[in-house]
Amino acid sequence: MADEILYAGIANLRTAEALSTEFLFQYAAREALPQHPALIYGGDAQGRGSVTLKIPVAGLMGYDLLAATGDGSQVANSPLTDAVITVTVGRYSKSYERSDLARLQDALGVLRADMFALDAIASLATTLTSLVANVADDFTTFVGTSGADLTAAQFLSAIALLEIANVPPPYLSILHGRQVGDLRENLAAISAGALQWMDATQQQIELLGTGYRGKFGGVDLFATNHVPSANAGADRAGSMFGRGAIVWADGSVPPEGDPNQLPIGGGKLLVERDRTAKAGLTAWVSHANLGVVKALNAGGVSIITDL
Amino acid sequence: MPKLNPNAKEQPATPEPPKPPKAKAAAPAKGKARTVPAGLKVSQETPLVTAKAGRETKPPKLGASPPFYFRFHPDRWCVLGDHVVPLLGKLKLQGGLNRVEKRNETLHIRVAVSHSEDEGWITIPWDVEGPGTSYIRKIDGTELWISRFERVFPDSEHIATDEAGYIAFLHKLVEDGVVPAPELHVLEALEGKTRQSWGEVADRARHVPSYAALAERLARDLEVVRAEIDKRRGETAPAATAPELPPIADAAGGAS
Repeated sequence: MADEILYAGIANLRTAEALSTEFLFQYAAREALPQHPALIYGGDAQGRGSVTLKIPVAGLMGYDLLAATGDGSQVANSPLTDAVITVTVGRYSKSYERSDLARLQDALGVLRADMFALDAIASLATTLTSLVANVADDFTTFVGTSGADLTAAQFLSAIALLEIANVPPPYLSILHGRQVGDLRENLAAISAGALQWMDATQQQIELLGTGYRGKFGGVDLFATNHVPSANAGADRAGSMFGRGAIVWADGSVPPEGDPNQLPIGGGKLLVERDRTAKAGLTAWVSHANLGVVKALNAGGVSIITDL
Repeated sequence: MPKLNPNAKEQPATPEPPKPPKAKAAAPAKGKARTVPAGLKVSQETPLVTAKAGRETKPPKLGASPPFYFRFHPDRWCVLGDHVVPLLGKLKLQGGLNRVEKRNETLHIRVAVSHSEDEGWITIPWDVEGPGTSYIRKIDGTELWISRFERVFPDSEHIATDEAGYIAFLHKLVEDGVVPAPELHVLEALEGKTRQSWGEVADRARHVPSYAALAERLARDLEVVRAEIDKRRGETAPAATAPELPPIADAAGGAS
């Protein structure tokens, strides 16, 4: 036989690769946790005259007890204990720039304006999660043993420490994925059902964020791999805290009526289009202004365990 | 073969050796494949593959991490590698985080450091080990800042720790007076925490053999902490004066 039509011989009649209609997103830590009551929203810095917001802290509502006072004696004044928490917002931005050639062949629709806008919204939530995780690792009270896995007993210890410090529940715990895994394994090994982990329902995930993993010991558990390391990378520093320990704020950019700008959420996220005509490039730039601080140190416990 | 006569004038020609008979190929049985003859030629080849991308060119699979100062708090001590050492925190230098401001490319940290020190933290300067040195590093091509005691790898999430080097660094901070030695009450709290952990694990190890190693490690940690407490007790002087007591009325109603 001769002149068979083989695949190798018809390079001019075929393509090297064909694009599937399915596509995937790269793995990344995309957890969002903005809606929990343990996180205090300090406010929007727009129009306040400063990028630093101040939250007063007053020692009232039972902070000082009544003092035993003799009949006919004048009671001495109790000093009012006050403090202040300041949070400064800073700019966070991202840009994707695509050429006209990239745009015209976009068979999957991943290089469209609406896709970039959706990405900006997701990135804003994930950025806030990362900021919260990065301030929550440094409470002076801590539990855990360096180089050893997290145990249920240590988790319950953290709850006890917060209760001793008079921190009102509900508590929120932010742990690295490894720490959550260790806790789950330890529970399975030791409790035989005596300690219950209530897994997250779909409704709870939609309400509380994609990092929500359920409730254990009455504490809401979030997992994110943005939890930073400790002890020169040997451990991970998760946390558990109540309301008052972490404060976050943002700054909305007021709209200017510019058709190339798309304010989302009243300007909390600004997505804008920047065209460089001579180069045939279009950039989609997203901006947000965020600030996170560790507020009341006694309101949190760091959980430092093996990576 | 006929004998050759050395004296003969003409020697007869050496006869050709007899030819070996032709090997007959085995006749294939009806309906069956021909068997492979012996001595099949084999060539050593490797299949054609595309070039593998060099892993060494890829960045580590770790997210961005801002530059930071190590900071020390008197209440944070732990046991690391059979040593009682400070559990250092990190003051991360990123705009919007803990009162740090970023204007153009400069980080304004005065307020952040001041607030941190108000909370009792001691900030450890980058060149604490000597002029021109720094304990932080930035990985080229990334926004990942790590300490000099950590090592990251291309295309990997793994972080290797130079534990011995880090412990030596921490001891030097105390020896040089950069951070104070641990207070007795802090060590006693650490002992209580370690004893509690050891108790739970030791009880578990009776029934779950895999917990035995952790129980031994925690027992060692407890010994280390107790040794440190004994050392501090030897160094701590007793109070010089008795505390002042408030006036107390006697049974007759007069103040004493």
